[in-house]
Amino acid sequence: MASWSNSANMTQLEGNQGAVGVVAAETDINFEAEQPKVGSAKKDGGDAGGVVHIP
Amino acid sequence: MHSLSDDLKVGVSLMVHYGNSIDYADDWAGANVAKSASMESIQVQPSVAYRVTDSLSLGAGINANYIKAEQELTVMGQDLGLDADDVAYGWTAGATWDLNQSNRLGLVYRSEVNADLEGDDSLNGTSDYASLNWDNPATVMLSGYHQVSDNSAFVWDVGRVLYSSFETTTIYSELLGMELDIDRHWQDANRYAVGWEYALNSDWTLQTGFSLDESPLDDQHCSADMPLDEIKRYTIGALYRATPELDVAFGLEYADLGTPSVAHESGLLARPAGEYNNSAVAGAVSMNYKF
Repeated sequence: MASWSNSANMTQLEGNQGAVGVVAAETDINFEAEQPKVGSAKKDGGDAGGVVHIP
Repeated sequence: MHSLSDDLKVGVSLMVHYGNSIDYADDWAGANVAKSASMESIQVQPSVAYRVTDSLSLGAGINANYIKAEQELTVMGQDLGLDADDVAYGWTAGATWDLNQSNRLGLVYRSEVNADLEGDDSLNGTSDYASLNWDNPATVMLSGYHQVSDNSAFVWDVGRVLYSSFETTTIYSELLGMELDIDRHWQDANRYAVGWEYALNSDWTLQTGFSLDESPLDDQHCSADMPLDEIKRYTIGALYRATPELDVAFGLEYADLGTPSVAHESGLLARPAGEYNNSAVAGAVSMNYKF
């Protein structure tokens, strides 16, 4: 129950406080087509994910 | 966070609550729905908390959300690009109950955020006005913290995400002179999470957790721009007390994003049948300083 997700939790904290953080994530999204009903060729989505750095 | 008194606190947060990015191969079969799609958001939220009684605290905040969306798709054989943004507002309200010194419950509600994004679309080197809507769903979450021994604690939360309010993404293109409606058919979904904290000593605390987010949609309505399914997250982390004033937290997460199946659909927004296999890994570091 962090104070950033439930502001009521701030009463558990003392004095003055500051926090900073960073998250880096990499997604891996793959698509396997069953049959080429759409488009000119049977293509999957390749490696549609990638790296995202969230400040 | 600033203490105005022992019972009254104010704070402000600047956070990225959500975002996504997907970039398909150029010639994949579902390009008429999405060749690429991304959404970025950042939220600033001032909030206040007040200890009403020794055991009950209430909190509330209002938030402003900058949301930016980019999407590329192929419509009627032509590549269409869209770049739009908006600032939308929401609010939160929460409460915590200290059942005793070892057990605490929390309840928080986050409102829906409705954004009407406006910007430009591009087609064959020309651009003009375009827009789309995005409704970030409301959530309600009940959570608990239970100190089970001198050095370990059990944490949990149960929540519901009210996805069903997000019915349709409407993309308007001035260049095409038409609206494209992507019906979402999302359903409300539950979230369950459990975690464990173990204090090795006065400086180090180890953390681990697992969460399950139910899918907001069924296979019939899975879309190429957001291929969502049930999500299972496995996390480990550690909290290090570097000094009495400074805590540093580390975390690693593996997310099984599921294997959503996509049913074939014909028409303007036709999509191929097939199955995704999605996952993600993430790392995080944060610092908390008392002054």
